[in-house]
Amino acid sequence: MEGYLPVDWSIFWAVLSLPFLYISYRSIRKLVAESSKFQISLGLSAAFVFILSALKLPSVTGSCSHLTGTTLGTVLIGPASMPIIGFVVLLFQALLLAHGGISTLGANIFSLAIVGPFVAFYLYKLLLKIKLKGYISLFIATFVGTMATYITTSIQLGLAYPDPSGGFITAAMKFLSIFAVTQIPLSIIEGFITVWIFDILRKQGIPTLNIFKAKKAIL
Amino acid sequence: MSKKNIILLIAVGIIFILIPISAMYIDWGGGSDDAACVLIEQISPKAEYKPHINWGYEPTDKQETLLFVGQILIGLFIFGFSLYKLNKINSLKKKEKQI
Repeated sequence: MEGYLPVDWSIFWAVLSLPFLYISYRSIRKLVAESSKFQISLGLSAAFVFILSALKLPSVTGSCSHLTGTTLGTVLIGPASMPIIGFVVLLFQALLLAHGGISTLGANIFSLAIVGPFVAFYLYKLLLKIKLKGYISLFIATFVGTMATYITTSIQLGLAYPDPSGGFITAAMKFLSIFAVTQIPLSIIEGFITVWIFDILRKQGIPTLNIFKAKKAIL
Repeated sequence: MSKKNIILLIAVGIIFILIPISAMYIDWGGGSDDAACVLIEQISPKAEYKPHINWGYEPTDKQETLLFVGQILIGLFIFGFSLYKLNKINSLKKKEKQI
């Protein structure tokens, strides 16, 4: 939220996110030059984040939260391409909807479009390596990736507002207890949606990243 | 693409649009982000929380809902268009194989 992150921390997270935005720009340019089919993947990935991040869903805890929608893009165009997509979505929400905040953009990009996708990506790779079924791997990766985004937000807030008695860890746990409980059911929903959409796209012959091509049993 | 999937996709798309609209009439509870702000004010109550960058604009609740619906619609449009293109490439390839 705008104004709730101190200026020094806002700058810190923005500076940390900048190199990722550059990597993301390079990565997207390379993919699009490689094959025009990836333009479609790019459109689908960006659209998916656009739709899901706008969805404010009620959870069992009596409070609402947003989905992230970043895992589909992570497996279609790779985590290195995601930061720019996250940046566009967050900028749209910050400017037009006054939601999420402008000075907090860096911190939000870091949690939504950097940590979430990279955690989901490497977990997905690992789960496929240990021969877990493709759709189960994707479901777990989506769930953990979404949770990782909100755990990062909690850590960011804990760092900025350490608890007067318990310090950073106590504060981070307090923030986590707010986000995590609401987010767990929503992450499960997001897992189902991502697996379902990925299944449809696979049957439509969507190109996947080379690293996953070698593994025949994606789904 | 199978007809069943197309109908399902459209149905889910409509549900997605209806969710934010329903929040205008049903109270689903506050956002977890607002709850986090309350906690921040508890932990460090002395500080005053003002926006660092004042955009000078804050939509009303109704406008916010409509903008969220707009964001979903833009997303659905791009998604549908991309899926249509993918489907086209796919069916062209199938035809080539048959010939």
